[in-house]
Amino acid sequence: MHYNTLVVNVDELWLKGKNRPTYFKALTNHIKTVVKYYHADKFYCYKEAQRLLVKSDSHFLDDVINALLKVPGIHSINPAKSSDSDLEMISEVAIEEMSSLIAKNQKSLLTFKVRSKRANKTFCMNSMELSREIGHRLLCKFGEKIKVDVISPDVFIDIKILDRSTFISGQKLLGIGGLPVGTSGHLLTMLSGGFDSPVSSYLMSKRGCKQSFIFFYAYPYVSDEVKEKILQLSQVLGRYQNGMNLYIFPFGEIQKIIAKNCRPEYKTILFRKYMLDCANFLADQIAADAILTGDALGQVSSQTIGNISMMDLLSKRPILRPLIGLNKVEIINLAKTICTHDISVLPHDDACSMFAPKHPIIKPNVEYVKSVCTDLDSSIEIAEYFKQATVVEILPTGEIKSLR
Amino acid sequence: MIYLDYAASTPICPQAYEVLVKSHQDDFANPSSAHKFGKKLADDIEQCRQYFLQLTSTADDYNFIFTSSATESNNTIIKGLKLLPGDTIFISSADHPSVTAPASVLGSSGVTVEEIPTNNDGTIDCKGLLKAVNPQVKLVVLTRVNNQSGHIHPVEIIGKAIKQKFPKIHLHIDDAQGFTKHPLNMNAQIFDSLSVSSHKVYGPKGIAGLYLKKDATIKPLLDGGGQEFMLRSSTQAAPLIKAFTKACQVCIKDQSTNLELASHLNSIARSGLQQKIPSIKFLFGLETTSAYILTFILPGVSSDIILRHLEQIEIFISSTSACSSRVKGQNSVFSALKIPTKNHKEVLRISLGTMTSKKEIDCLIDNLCDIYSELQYLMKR
Repeated sequence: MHYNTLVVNVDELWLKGKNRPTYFKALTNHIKTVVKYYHADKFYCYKEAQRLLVKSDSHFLDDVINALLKVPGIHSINPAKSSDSDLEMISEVAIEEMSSLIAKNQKSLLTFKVRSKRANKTFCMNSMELSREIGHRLLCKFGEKIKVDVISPDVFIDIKILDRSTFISGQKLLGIGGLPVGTSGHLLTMLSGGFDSPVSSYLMSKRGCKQSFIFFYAYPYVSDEVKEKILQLSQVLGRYQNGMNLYIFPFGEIQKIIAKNCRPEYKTILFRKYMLDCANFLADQIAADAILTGDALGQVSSQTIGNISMMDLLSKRPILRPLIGLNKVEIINLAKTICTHDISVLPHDDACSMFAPKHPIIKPNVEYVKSVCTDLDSSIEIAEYFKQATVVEILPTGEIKSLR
Repeated sequence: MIYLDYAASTPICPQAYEVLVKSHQDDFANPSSAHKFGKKLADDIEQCRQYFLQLTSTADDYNFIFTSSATESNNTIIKGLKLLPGDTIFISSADHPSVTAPASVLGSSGVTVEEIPTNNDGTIDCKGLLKAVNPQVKLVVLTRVNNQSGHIHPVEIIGKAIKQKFPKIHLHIDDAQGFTKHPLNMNAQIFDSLSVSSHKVYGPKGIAGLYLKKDATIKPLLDGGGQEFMLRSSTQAAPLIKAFTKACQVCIKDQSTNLELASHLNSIARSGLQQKIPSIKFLFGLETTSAYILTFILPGVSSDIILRHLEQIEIFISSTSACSSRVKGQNSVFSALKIPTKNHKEVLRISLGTMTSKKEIDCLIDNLCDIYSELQYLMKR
């Protein structure tokens, strides 16, 4: 079936009051950007009765729909056919739709339910009457092949009677939900090649956060293979964002300076501290509100409550840790869902593990950290290292637009 | 810049470069064309071919086929013999991927692929091989100089013994690393085929060769215009062929001088490194390996990290063969060379060239020592 209308149902709108237009605007912009990349023909995107409609003279391909299902804030999409608000015409399209559902499902008996929503109250029937009438006509047409089941049907026929037209749809595709990107501030995401930080990024995309990524590239202690991995992960995560930048920050030299000048057991926590400093420096430049990490409480020594408290104490900005209460298996399962698992699982060099002390500190001494940082700050010129950073622009399609 | 990765590739020598540039400008006709211009180029190519044949005194019994790479030459033999399920071939996992990969393709089609037995020092176990060879064996591939370890295998002796037992076995030699660097004796006509490469001998990339006995039956990889005795259809690259020939001429002229210099520098490198880094382990002795290749391990530090520290100061060496440098963890080549698995990530190779100087070796030793000491310090803390 070819659909030239997408009915976009918006998530969590009932939670919003007077700021609702802001959310619609952000979502409409994101939808328009995404559709533009995949759909060559002219299209319109507009709000009608608390949902968004995307319409075009030509039909939408699966690529557009799949990309839209990754747009935060979209609860679901009904690929639909439009009709005049006329019972005969609605019935004709509903029969066409059911015919296609029967062919697709290949079941001897397909159970169904007709759901109607009547935003336009001038229509001649109310929702219940319309559902009953269309259900009746479908049964007359398809006879033994279909049966009504209002509790747990195989398929739904959704009819939405709006002010300007009526839409009939046989499928409802679930999106990722949440809030539109850009409505919950700007985060700087510390991305590594593992499982955690990509999942963390996805969760905060869902909560409407615009993100920029920072990757700490520990060359010459790691190879460019890990950079390749980060680019691949960014391409996946970029599909949940409306365009974003990845900053590849040179960190090898900084790690060397730290490792040479601190007590061995403090190496890991000080690496983290200077990563945060670099992130905060970048956040100043790009006006990010908070730092996002993939920390999960107690997962490794740098994520003990003591070390997490220390990081919060030393960071200029709030640090968001959406995975804090998740188990590793839960994180890995989420990684599988968002398709970052197979990239994260690839082996890569890890400078932190190369430098890892035998007995990392788990209850750090704040005074020592502050004093060693006073010395280290004089030899670590973050602004100078930042000049050598590479910036990668990621399009809303996940493609890499440019490297500079 | 200090380049010590000549086994991966060499820079083009000035003489070959001059020939290449001039020929690229002048020799644009198709050597297969019927006109005078094309015929002249076909004659030039024939002269080059004769040079390679006379170099090894094989003009009567062999053809020399120009190919695009030693990889193509090896593939031409391994795939072109049209082996059938039930046939057996012998190769070594220590061979270059251009041997092991096509052999693996044969393996998946039912051909039995056997491993050439090796001694504990990575040299070929000649007796073991002879014992293992049987009438089902149709092909034995021997590498004359191993690209990773530098082992010089006595292919003439091993080949002769095999041929005495089973004269019909096709004996193929991969000589990409040995050709023009170490004297090659093909007088006894033991080898059925032998691959050589241009970019390992200071010639241009994209050209190589294959010595092939005239009575060998090979199905070509490509079908087309039937160039190169029907074995390598493609318009012949006259400029590359001429430059390759020139590069070989230069190498052969200076073969013994170059080898002496390489032996001298290899000894200096070994003693200098041993003195400055007492924990260094040289994996193979100079007596069984090519003077151009020196392989060692620096215990406890990943070779890739050392490689990247060196590249930062424009010193280029190798951690694994360039064609397989993305292989991580256990390395089948190293296993075949009897290098313990725990050391696979620590293997470094320097390979010397005709341009290598003592100053460069000294500079490498000093920097390698500093880098290794610093990394050990950082990791032990």
